[in-house]
Amino acid sequence: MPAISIRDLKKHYGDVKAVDGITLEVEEREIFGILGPNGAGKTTTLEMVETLREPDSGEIEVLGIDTRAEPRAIKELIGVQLQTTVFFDNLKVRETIDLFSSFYPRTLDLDELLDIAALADKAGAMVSDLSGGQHKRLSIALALVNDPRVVFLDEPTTGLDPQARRRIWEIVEGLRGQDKTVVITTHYIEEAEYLCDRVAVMDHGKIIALGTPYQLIDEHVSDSIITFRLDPPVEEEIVRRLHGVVGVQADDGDYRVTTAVPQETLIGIVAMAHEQGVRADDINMKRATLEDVFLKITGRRIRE
Amino acid sequence: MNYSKMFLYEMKMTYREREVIFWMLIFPIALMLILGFVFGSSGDIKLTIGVVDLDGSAVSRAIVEALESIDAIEVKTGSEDTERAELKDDNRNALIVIGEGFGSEVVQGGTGEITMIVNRSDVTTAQITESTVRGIIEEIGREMAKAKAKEGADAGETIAINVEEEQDIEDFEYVDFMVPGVLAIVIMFGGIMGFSEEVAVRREKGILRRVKVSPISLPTFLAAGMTMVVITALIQAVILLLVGSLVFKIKINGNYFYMALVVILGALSFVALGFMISSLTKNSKSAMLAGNAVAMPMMFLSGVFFSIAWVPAAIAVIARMLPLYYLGDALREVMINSASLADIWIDLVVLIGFGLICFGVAVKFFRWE
Repeated sequence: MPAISIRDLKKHYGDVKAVDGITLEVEEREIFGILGPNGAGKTTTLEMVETLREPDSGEIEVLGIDTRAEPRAIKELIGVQLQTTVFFDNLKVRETIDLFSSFYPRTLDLDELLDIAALADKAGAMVSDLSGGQHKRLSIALALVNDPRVVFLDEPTTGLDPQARRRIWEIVEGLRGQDKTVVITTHYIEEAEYLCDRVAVMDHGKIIALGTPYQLIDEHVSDSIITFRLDPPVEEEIVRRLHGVVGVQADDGDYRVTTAVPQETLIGIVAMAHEQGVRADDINMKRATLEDVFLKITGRRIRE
Repeated sequence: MNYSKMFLYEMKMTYREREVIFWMLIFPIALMLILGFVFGSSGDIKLTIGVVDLDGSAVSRAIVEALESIDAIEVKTGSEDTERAELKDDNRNALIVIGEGFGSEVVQGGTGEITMIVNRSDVTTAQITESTVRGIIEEIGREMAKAKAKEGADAGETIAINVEEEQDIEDFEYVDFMVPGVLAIVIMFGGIMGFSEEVAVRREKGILRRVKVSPISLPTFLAAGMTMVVITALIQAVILLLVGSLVFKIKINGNYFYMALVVILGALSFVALGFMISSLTKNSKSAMLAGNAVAMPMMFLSGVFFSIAWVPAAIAVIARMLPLYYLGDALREVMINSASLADIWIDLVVLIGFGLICFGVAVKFFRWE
């Protein structure tokens, strides 16, 4: 049984098709990413699964339970971090977790939650005194209070600095192997590639690509990019004749080549430099990313 | 039990807010003190003294005239029965009874006896009354003694004053009216403001959505907040009554259980109103404005500062259409006039009915986001 099963889900706001016919299955114990630019419909999709929004049409089952028929049963099984994380005023971290724990029949131990979210040393701090990263970690702790089988994290690292983002990733990584399914929305390429077993790429309310990050890149972006520097420069035509090269940009000794067979091209570059008696330097092979996948399919970048 | 924990944290959240402590405790006490001191005592004291002259002699008439000649004293004369009744109704600060044969006793060189009954309902006024009247009569006595001494007669004491206590006075003063009124206002503000804005702020910030994705039910969540408002109202009632009885010596004659019941009912009624406002307004700012727009006029029009018997008829009609009037009336009746619940059934029915209607509308238009 899949953890989440969505069939032909639709949600319109006036003329805007926020979610335009999504069909999707998330396997149990999978970290599943929904990647897309702002306004792609990621949050709307998530919130319909979380029973926060009523779909116009379509079916959603979480752990085999119809979300619309039994929202309460679903709420006991899922843990939710909403995109905007807000807490009650005038409460401390420990009190906030304690309060949210009281909303559920079955809960994890408070200290365990503080440990998971790396907030043990902040247990006595007022929530208003937390940093952005601590704020997000507290909201993840709240998403885990009921030891949920399915966890939804809506843009858990948006607005955080790289270090704070890393700490969130560690927490999410820690959930792997805890018999939990995690669904995460993001518009950060690295986040989707680093954390997710599978990724659904969304744009304009539709899923435009679905698979493991590797599959997606492999399937949609066949070309790799190699950049390097030659001193002194050689003629562009010499570089163009290298094996596998489909495109060259040269700028006063700096070269950027596109190739379908990066490994052979790389060897070719080194050999050519040797033959020509020039120094090859700063050789970088840039792996294609999900950004390139998105660019390839839509002609736009995810973050603009 | 998620209700009790939610309630506990509602209390914590509220009482950690310093502003709340101000509005909850300092402001009501200040309001009460200001009203009590400004309107409670009438600037320069004018004493009303009842005089019953059973003697009718030249001497007793001289004493009455001497009292009448003093500006600060208004002398009322009448039969002993009427004057005693007036004293009981708190219309006299003191009563002086000059007994039969007083004049002849004084003329014959003996000691004439005067009975003074002091209204003890207001301690300060009673002291002033007693010392003033005593001073005047003793002065008259000394004058007479001097006159007699000139004639070479015995210069002993001419007038003796017997002070009689009268405790059982129907004392109904402005403060008795005002203290339950201020309590009613405080309960109203606590209900309307304490809840409507909080719900609106939580909705605006998205806290309600976060609560919505958990299995706690809306009634449980709201009940916890409402209980907090009710408990707060009870605390305020205790404090206001304490201050009222310590500072203004108001006499609380009512059944404490009935008083608590009226306070709880009033708080629930106005929480429902606050909740309705939060359901019908767009955001926390408009909820606050609407709350003020409802509470402020109600405060002035509902006859809680002043009896509606003292205001123009049109305002009295408006007052009777406002729920605050009924809360003020119920509180006053049980607190001061020892009314039973049966005596205030109209107030109770209005408050319950009003609360239920507001609550129904509030639930119907409630939004999580």
